[in-house]
Amino acid sequence: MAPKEPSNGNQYDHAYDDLHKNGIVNGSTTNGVPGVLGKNTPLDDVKQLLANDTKVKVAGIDCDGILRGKIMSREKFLSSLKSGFGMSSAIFGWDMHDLLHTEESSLTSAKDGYADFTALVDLESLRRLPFEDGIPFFLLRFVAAGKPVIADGRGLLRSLGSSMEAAGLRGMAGGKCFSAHCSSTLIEHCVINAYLGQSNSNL
Amino acid sequence: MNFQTPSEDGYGDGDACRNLAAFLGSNQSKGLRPLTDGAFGYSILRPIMAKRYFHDIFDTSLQVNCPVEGWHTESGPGVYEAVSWFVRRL
Repeated sequence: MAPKEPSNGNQYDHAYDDLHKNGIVNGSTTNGVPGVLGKNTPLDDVKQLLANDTKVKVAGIDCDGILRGKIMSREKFLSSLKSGFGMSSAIFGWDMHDLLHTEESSLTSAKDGYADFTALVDLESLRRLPFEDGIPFFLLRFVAAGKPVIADGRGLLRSLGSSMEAAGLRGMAGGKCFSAHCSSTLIEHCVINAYLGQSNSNL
Repeated sequence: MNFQTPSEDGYGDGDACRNLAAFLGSNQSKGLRPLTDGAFGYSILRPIMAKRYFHDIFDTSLQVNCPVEGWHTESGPGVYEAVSWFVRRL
């Protein structure tokens, strides 16, 4: 579903503003991607950063805090920078096994067909993924009807940050990650090896 | 649906020539091994298990001028969604 035209166009120029404000374009490097100097338009700058790519990966955070994303063609991505692109609100209406919540929230519903939210690209989040052949990766945040989706963690942090900034404060954040590690099954190894191009006689 | 291709007699005989049609002639389709597990739409990690395969499909779509603009898992084992370019009708 195509994203709806925003009622207030100005607020969607965020991507360009972020790009310059945070020094992505005029800074030195972003994870090995050379920064681009000059008087180009922001779109030209992003195009230049992605000059040798045909695709990018994007992901936003769902209501459980899990990244949900996809691979997009570079052209589709660039055409989305101004006003975002449509992404299913179902990621705020189901759990981590994609089971729909039995009790619906006000965010999204079956009745509305889990209509698309608008996903906005945070250009400053650019990094290249070493475990996926260096594909450029961008984080998203979500808006619906021109307002930030209240359950979107990145949108929440952003508005908190803005309020603090307005009060002359600077917000800082860090995190801890706890994880469990298990050895993989033989099948898993076989699949990985097969697609890494290593020989495996079990396949 | 995306799955490993079995040999005629299944996955046990890894040296045999892969033959999906022959496998399905004597096995149910649920005997196939999906390339991504579980129901997890928009996964950014599970496709990496078979990244050469999934990226090859995307890259080839560009090469044959039948470009995919969006490419992600849907809610089912091995299930994918491909969005074709949105263009003016002929």
